[in-house]
Amino acid sequence: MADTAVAERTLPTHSGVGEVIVETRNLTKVYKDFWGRKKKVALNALDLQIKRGEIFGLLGPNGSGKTTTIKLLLGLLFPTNGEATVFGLPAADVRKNERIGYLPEESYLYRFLNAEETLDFYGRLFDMPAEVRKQRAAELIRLVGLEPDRRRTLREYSKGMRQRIGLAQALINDPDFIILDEPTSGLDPLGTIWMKGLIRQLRKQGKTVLMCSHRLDDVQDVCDRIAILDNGDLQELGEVERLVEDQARVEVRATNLRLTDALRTDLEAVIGKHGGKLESFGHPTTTLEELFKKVVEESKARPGRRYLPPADGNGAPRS
Amino acid sequence: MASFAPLLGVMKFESEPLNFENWRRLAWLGIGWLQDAGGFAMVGLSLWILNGLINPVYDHLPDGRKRNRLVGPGMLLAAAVALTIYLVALGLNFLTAGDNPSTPRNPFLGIPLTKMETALELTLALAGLVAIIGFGGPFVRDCLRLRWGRIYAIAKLSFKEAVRRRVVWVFLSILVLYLFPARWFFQEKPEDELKSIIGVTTRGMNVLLISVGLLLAAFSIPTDIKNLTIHTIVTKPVERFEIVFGRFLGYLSLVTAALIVMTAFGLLLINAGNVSPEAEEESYKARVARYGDLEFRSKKTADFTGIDVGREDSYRKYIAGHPETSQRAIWNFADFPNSFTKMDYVPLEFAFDIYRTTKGEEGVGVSVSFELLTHRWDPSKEDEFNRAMQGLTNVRPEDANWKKVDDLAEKYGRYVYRNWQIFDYHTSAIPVPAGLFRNAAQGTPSAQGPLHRMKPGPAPRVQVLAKCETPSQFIGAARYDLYFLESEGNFSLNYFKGAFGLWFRLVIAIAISVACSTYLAGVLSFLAAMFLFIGGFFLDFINELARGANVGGGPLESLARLIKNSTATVELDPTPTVKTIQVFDTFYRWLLRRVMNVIPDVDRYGLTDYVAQGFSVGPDFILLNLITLAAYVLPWLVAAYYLMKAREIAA
Repeated sequence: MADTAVAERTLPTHSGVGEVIVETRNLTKVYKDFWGRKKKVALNALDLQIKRGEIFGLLGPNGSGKTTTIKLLLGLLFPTNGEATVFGLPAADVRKNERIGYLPEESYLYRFLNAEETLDFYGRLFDMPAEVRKQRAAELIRLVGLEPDRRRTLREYSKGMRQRIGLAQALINDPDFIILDEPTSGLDPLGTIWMKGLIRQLRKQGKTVLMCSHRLDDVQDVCDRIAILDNGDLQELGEVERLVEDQARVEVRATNLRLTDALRTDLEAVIGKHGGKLESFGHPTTTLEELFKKVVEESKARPGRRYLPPADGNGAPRS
Repeated sequence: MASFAPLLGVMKFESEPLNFENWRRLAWLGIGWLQDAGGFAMVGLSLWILNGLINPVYDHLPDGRKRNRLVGPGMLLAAAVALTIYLVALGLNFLTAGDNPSTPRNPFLGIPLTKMETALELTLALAGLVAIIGFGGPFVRDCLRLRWGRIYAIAKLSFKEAVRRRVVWVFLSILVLYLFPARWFFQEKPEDELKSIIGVTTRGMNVLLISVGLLLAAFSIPTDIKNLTIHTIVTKPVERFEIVFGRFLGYLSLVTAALIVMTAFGLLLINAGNVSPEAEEESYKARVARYGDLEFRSKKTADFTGIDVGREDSYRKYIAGHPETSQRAIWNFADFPNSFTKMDYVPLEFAFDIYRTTKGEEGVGVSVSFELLTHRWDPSKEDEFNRAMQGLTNVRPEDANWKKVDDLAEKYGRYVYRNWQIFDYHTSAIPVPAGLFRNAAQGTPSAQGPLHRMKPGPAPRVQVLAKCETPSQFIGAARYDLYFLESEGNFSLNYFKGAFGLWFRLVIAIAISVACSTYLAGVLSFLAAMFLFIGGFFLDFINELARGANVGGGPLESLARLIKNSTATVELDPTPTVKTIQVFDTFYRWLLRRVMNVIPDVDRYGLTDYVAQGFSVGPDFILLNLITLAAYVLPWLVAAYYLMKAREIAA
C-alpha cells in the first residue's frame, strides 16, 4: 500500500520478530479538577511492552484504566507522569498514527456520510491518492460485508453495521498496529465470530493488535497475552494460556466411547491409583456460540427448516 | 470607516481610508500592529512557557537526553530577549514622562515626536517583533508541515455536513428581502431607490451569512469533541491545527458560495427591476474619483481652518457666503491621470452641505463659484485672462465656444465657473476643460509657485477654489465632497467588488468563532464571537471610552457623579475618594485599550456604501483591506493553534 510505504519512509522501522511496538514506562494519569486538585488516579505507573505480531488484551472492570491506557497511547490524553512510545515515537507525535488503526468503543463516525464517503474521508487524512483510496475502500467494504449498504448513510446503519464500518476505517491505512476498543460490542454472535476470525487473520499478516473488552471469552479466544488492570494498577500480566491454566486439575478427552458404569468404575480406579479423584464424568458441552453458528448455517443451507416445539415440551426438533 | 451620508450623494469618511500613497500611515499601522500583537504574543509566550515547564512533555533523544517538546531553547531565548527589550521600553517610558512641550520634536513618519518618544515607539515595536517570532515560530514551523490534502478533506467534510444538515435552506430566507422590495415600506426619493435596495439587501445578507457562519463555526469543534468523532480524526496523522484550519476553510467556502449566489441574484433583480432613471443617474454607476487635499483660506484669519457652525457632526467645516468674502475651500491636486489631458472635458463633481442662517428664496439654491488654477498660472495676467473670457463664462461643452474656453484654459492655466446653484441632496457637476490639465501637466510644480498651500504637503498641479456667493448662507465641505471624475466603471462588476466587504466580515466572524471553539463550548464560543463581532460596530465609542475622551469620566467616576447628583461636565473636587476612583478608572481604560485590540474593526470593511453611492471600489483598497484583515485574523489563528495543541481531546 502506498500509505504504508509513506509511513515506512518516515518512521523508524524494525522488521525483527520481538520488536517492541508499544512501550510504557511508569505511565501515570491523574485526573485533576479546574484548580489542579487531584480527582482520580486513572492509571498508576504502568510498565508494559507489546511486541510485533502479538494480540494483546487489556482486561479490567469499569474504571480500571483500560481506556485511559489506550487514550494515552493514542495521544488523546497527556500523561501526568512517565512516558509512552509507539513505534519508538512519543505518543504525542502524530507521525506514529501513520501506522496505527483505531476502532473506538462506539463507532464515532459522521452519520451524514455513507460507507464509501466515510472511507474516502479517512483515506484522505492519510494523504492516499484517489485511486488507492477508491480501491482500498472497495476492498474494505467487501471485507466487512457492507457492499449492499455502501451508499446508505451511517445514520441508517444498525449498531453492528456501524461497528463494521468503524473497523473498515481503522484498517484504511493497512496499519501495522491496530487498537480495538470493545471490538465485538454491538455485533451479533456471527459478527463476533467474524470479528475474532479477522483479528486472528491480522495476526497471521504480522500485525500487532491491542484490544480491550469486557467479553472475557472473546479475549481468551484471540489474545496471546493479557494485562489485567484494576483501579489503575496492573494486577496481572502474562500469556493467556499460562494464566488460565488450572494446575490442580487434569482433563482427558476421548472419542468412540459410551458412558457406562463399568467405564466410570475403571476410570475411578486408574485415577485413584495415581492419587487423584474423578470429579465429573459425562459428555462435554459445546459453547452456545458454536450452537448458534450451527443453527444459522443450517438455516441458510435449508431455507424451509423451521423449529416446532414438541407436544411433550422437551425441545427436540421435529424436522 | 466609510458611512452613508443620507443627505448627500458623496462618500463620507469618518476617518481617512487607507491607500498606498499614504505610506507613512501604513508604516504607523505596521508599528501599531507589532506593538499590539507583540504584547499579546508576549503574554501568550509567558503562559505557554510556564505551562511547558510545569507540565513538560519529553522526547527521548537517541543519545539518551530528554527534550521538552513544549518549550524549546529558541522560545526561551526569544522570551528573554523580548522581556529585556520591554524593560528597556519601560525605562524609556519613564524618560518620555520628562519631555515637556518645549522639547524639540522632529517628524517621524509624518508625526512630530521627541527623540525619546521615537525611541519608545521603536523599542516597543522591536520587543513585539521578538515576542511574535518567539510565539509564532512554532506555529510557522508546524504550518510548513500542514498537508493540504488533509485540510481539504476536513473542509469538504464541514461543507458536506452543513449541506446535508440542510443549513443551506436558511439562506433562502434572503429571498424575502427581494420578494418584498424596500420601496413598499420606505418613503424615499426616486434617486435614492437603488441605494435603499442595495442597503437593505446587503444588511439582510450581513445578518444572515454572519449569523450562520458564527453558528456553524462555533459549534463545529465542540460538537466533534462531544460526539467523540474527533477521536477518529486525531488518531490519524492529522496535525491538530489542520482540524482548525480545515473547519475554518470549510465554513468559509460554504458562506462564500452562498454570498456569490446571493450577490448574483441581487444583481439580477436590480438589472431586471424597474429602477427609476433618477436612481440610475445617482447610483447605477461606478465612479472612479480623483480626490485632492482640502484646506481653508481667509484673508482675515491666517490659520483659518473653516467655521464650526455648531452642528453635532464636525465632519464638515464651513465657509461663509458673500460676493466679497475672502473665505475659500481649497482642494489641492498634486497629480492627475494623463487621460485628463485627452478628454473633451473633465467633470468636477461635488455636493456640499448648506447651512442657512436665513430661509432664502424658494426654488433657488445657494450660489457657489469655482476657480481652477494650475501651477503655471501667472497672477499678473489676471486682467488679460478676464478680458479674454468676456462672454465665455459658464460655457458648456456642447456649446460652439467651448473650444475657445479650452484654449484659454490651456494658455493661462486658469478656469472659472461662476454662480452654480447648489441644492441639498444632489450631486452636481461642472465641466472642466481638458486644456487646463494640458497646461498643468507641463513643468514641475514648486512650493514657490502661485499655488501656495496652508498645510505642508506636495506642491499641487491644480487647485480648485470654491467660494460661496450667497450672503448669510454657509456651505460645508469635507475632503471627499469634491472630486474629478476619472472614469465610470461597470456597476455590476462594482456590485460584486462591494461583496468583498461582506466577505471580509465573514472571514473575521468565522475565524473568531473557530478560534474560540478550540477552548470553549459551542454556546460560549458563539456568544463570545458574537459579542466581539458586534463590539466591532461600536469600536469608535469604545475607543472614546478607552481614551477617556467621553464626558463624565470612567465607570466609577460616572457612578460617583450619579450618587452626588453632579452633572457630567462639572469637574469633581479632587478629594482622596475622587482621586482613588480616578486611579481605578485609569486602570479600566488601560484594560479597555487591550480589549479594543481584540475587537475587530468590522466597520472598516463596509464597502456597500461605495456601491450604493455609485463609487468604484478600487483594487488597491481591497488589497489593503485584505492585508489589515490578515493582520487581525493571524493572531486569532495562532491562539487557536496553541489552544488546540494544549487541549486534551479525551479529557
